[in-house]
Amino acid sequence: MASANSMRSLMRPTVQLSPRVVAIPSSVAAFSTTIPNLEVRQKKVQVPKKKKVVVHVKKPNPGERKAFRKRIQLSNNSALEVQGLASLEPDTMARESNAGQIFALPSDVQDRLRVLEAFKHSQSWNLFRKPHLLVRKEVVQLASKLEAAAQDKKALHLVLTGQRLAGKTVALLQAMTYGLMNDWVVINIPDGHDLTNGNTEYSPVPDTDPIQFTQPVYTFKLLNTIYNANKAIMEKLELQKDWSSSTNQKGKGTLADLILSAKEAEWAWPTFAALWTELTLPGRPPLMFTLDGLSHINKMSAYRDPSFNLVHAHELTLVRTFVDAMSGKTKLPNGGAIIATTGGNNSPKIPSQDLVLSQLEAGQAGREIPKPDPYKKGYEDRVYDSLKNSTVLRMGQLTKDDARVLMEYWGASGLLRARVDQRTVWEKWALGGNGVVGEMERASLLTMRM
Amino acid sequence: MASASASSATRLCVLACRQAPRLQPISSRVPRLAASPCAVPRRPFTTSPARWEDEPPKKDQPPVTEAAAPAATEGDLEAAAEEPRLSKPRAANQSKGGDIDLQSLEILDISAKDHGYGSFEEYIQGRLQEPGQPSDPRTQREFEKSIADVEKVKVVKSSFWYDEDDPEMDCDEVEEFDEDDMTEMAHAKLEEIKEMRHYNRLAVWELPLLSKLAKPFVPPSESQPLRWRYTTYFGDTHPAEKKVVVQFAPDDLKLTKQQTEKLKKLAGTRYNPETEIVKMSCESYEHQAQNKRYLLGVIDKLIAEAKDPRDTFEDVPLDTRHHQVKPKPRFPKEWLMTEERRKFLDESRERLKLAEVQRMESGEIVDGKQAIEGYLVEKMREEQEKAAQVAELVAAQPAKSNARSSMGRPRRA
Repeated sequence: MASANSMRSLMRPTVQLSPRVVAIPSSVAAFSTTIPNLEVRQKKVQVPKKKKVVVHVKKPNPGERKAFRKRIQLSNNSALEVQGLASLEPDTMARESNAGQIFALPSDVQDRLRVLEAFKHSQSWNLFRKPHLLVRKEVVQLASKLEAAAQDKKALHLVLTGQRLAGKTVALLQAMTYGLMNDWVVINIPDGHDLTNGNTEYSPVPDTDPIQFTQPVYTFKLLNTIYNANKAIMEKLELQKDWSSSTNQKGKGTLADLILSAKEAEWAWPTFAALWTELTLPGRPPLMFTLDGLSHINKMSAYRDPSFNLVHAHELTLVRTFVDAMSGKTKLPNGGAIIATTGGNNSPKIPSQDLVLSQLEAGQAGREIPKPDPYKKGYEDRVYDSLKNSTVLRMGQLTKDDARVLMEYWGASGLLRARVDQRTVWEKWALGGNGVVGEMERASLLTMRM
Repeated sequence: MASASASSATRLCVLACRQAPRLQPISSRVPRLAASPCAVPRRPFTTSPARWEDEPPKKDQPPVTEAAAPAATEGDLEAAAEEPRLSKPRAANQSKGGDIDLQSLEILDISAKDHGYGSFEEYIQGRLQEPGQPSDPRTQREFEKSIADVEKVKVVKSSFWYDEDDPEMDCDEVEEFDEDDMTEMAHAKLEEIKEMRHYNRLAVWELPLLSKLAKPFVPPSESQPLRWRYTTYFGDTHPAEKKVVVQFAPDDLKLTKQQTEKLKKLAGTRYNPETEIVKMSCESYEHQAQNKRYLLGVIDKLIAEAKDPRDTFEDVPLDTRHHQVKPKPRFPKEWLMTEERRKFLDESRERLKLAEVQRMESGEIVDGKQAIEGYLVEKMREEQEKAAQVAELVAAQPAKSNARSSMGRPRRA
């Protein structure tokens, strides 16, 4: 019945809601005349961002970088062990027969020298398996002078000079070695400019004119160093004076107790003064006080007094101690040595110091003594007076024989890949400025040339 | 003869036409001069006979008939037309503006004076008073032309400098080149050569005569401690020629040691401590003599002060900061190669060689490379030995491992 169906369909019109495409509200903007193009699906374009690779590293603690920079490495396992090296004895360096030979450093002395900061990170100890020392003729002279000073109970006032890289600091180290091996009390200031460039704390000493300053933190560290380096001797020596008024040391004790009584930097200077006085009393072992960088303690320091005037280095108490000992004002009744080293690249020119050292050297060599320039400014009497009673020892150039011995050691250590015959020795000697040790090392050990 | 009369009439007409328009004031003065025979002068105030350029000068000039005269005069006229150009007063062309009449009269005056008359007026009077003198209309016309040229400037429109706004300006080239000269550069070159030749002449002839003035060199004596320097610029004036320089050594002045030291200190920077000479100069005055006198005064004052005993200057050290002593390195005498040195070097080298050979033989030479290699070889050997030992240990203990597995597994020997 189509008609009925059709009628029915008419009666019941089915409105099929075809899924008419409804405008997506998001694609239509309000009040917009744009016909929305709905066929294009709007993709959200993702621009890939460069991911920053964040590496999580732990920053070093304060002081770690400095410690890494200044670390002393005395042993290198890649180097060959040199057989047949004799070890140093207490009197080896003073014997002339040992001149021009290499000796190994005993390990206990090594540790004590490390404590004393006698090794420098710019030296090439880290290339060899064990530290070694070449006994040069200048070192023999130095050691024999030290021997004489101990025997005669007279203080040796010595200044080590020489050109750059000539081996002055190593000679100082050798002097310290002698002192340590012969039971001297050794005090070392590794760098003069640490005291005067204003990097360490300073505090005024009351009732002094001109005003003097102590360096408590540095002195505290120095006290610890002295204790650690000379532990055996310090523990044996008894105090002879009563220091309870100025230090924390109450009652009797040893020098070790005295040093340890300074628990804070505030007590450092009085304790050091007490220690110094004790060590300069008769009946003590010989005292060795060494300093590297003499020029730095003979100029105006970077400190300022309350009136904002620059403080001369000699007004610093620690420096004053050294200077008084150097000039002979402080007597060493047990003998000993006050040794200072000049030079280095970072050393200011001090006219009085240059004058007095040149005069001493000329006098020692028997030459005409140079006079001060009448029209030059900058001469200082106190610097002149502090050094006029000293001796000068110039570290010169190596002889070719010494150079040969040294280079044989390098070759045996596997650091010098060459046949150590006359030609090579003469070549490296010439490359090293006719035998300047440091320059020879630079030309042989520190080059990448094969 | 109608033709003849006609011809003569024609002649007269031609003559009348040929007469140039004359300016009134002059025409009243200058009488017409009739045509004269050939021996008539072409130029005003000249007596030389006219002739063609090619013709040689005629010695005897017969009087030409009247018939021939006009024919001759026609040709002469043409020649004369050129001549006035030669006699044209050139000065008249250069008269620019100003009082032309006055200038032209001046020129005529000068011409009259040149030819023996007192002034132009006198010439006119003379001519007027002598009517019987034959006067040549041609010369008259030439004269008139030359007078006209004085007043009137020739306008050459094709000239380079012709200016339409100022047509009366003189347009003649200043330098008309008549192909009779070299270039300026050639003249300059010639001057150069002449100058060089002049100097060469002097050098060869004059300068050797200077040897007559030569004096033998006599070194200065003890009494001549001062050494003077003067400057001359050979005739040119130069501001530096009045400078006088004096040098002396304080040691030559015969003073005591302390006085010479004081003098050196007083001299200051004028004293050279290396050569030990005091050098002073003066150019403050206009004449050399004045400067020299001033320097002498200064030296006298220096010596007087040096001799003054009141202040001996002994506490003042001599300041030599103004003079930097440059060290002059000399070749060390020890390095000179002599026989001895050669022998010494050879001997020492021999000794070194021997020592080297001895060392090689005794095996003391250290070789870094060998040391390293030896060490490495040693290490390898040790490692191998260790490995061998480990293997042995492993082989010696089979019980610990699983029996079945150890049977089946190939053993490492």
